[in-house]
Amino acid sequence: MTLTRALIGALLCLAALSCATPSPNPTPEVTMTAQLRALPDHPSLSVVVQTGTEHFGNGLFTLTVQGDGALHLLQRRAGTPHNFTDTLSDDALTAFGATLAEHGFTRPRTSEMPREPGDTPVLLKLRDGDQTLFEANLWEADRYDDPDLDALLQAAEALIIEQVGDGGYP
Amino acid sequence: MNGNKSRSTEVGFQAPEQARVAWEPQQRPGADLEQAVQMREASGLSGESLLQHMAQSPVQLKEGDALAPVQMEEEGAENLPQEPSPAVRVRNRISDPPYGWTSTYDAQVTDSDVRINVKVKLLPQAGVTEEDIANVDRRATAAFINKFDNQFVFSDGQHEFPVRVNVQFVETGEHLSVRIHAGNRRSNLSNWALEAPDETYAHELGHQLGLLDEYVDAGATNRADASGAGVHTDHSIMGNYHAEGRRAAAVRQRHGETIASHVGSATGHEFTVRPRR
Repeated sequence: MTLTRALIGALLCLAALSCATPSPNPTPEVTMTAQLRALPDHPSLSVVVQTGTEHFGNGLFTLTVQGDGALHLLQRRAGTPHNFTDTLSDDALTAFGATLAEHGFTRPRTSEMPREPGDTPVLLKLRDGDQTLFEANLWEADRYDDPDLDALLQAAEALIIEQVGDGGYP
Repeated sequence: MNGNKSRSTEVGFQAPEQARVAWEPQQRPGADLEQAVQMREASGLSGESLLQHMAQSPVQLKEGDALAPVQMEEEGAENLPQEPSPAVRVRNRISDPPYGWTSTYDAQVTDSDVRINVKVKLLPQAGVTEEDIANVDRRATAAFINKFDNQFVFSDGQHEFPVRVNVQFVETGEHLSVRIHAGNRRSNLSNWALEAPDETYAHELGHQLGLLDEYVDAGATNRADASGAGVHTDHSIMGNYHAEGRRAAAVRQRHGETIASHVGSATGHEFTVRPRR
């Protein structure tokens, strides 16, 4: 019985690897949501969205948007890094933050395993300076069953395409 | 560079499940697929349009045509035609951690060839029209046929069987349901983007035949870096065809061996494989 419980515990730990990871001193979700809703008022915050596979298709994208409006995109494609920077207007930054708040960027989410072939990991992260307030390791295909996750990813993709890619993926 | 790597396709396979295919009472086993193979080549039609056309004008096999059996010239080999096996359901659980899925399709060994049929139901999502679905049907069929049909010849030691492959888009009885999404989102086995390149549809249907991805994927046990046993950079349709070239993407011997293993297990044959051309 003890062994069975240990095995179950180990399996639960493995499953947790693909779940939202709380920080040591978690900031309440409601607080993080309020901060996102007024993102320009929190210049030390940064939102990170990472998705894609480096050696397939358009590659691996890591989008970082800071509360001061700075945008950085790192695209790693077939072993080659490409860096892009831009600055969002206050209106664009406010709209982006509001979208993240509305669709629960910091809401706890889980992804079931195993995944279908072709799926790719998604990282959602909220930082304040060097401190990670929230981090979730998910899978992209969950967007097809989670409209809020889809909206979050669409918001990030829109910035990549419109701010960096000039209408398409860089 | 990867030619000597061990094949990853046998990793994690479970015992294949077999089930007789429930054919329509008025049809003999394999009749729809047999006609589909012939009609596809004759008409250039595909999917539902092809089935409609088949219903109106069935075609009979002619002796000596391209689908005739290929006899091996071994001494003592019998030249008697084989009794066609009934079509069977080929079903295998595929594991490529952290990925896992069930490969399902129908296969039939006739006296002239091996016939593989994948039935797919397309589910339009927001913003996807009937015209879009018809377009995906047409493009996916053409791409799948182009990359997979008539690429291999199986042999059981006595006879050789060209491997004919078909995809049939259906409303019921599907092996795979696929949600069709507007735009250019990332596709996977059961979610296809309207703006995906044609080769992506063939690639995803390759998974339905039990084939694994072959590009570097940091999260995949067998493909974590370029030295991974499951990584191949030989213009494989299951590799990074986006970077290597979509037109050049093709099936490889290892793919034929995987399919032969699955079809052989399900139909009671022990096949070897050679390229068709």
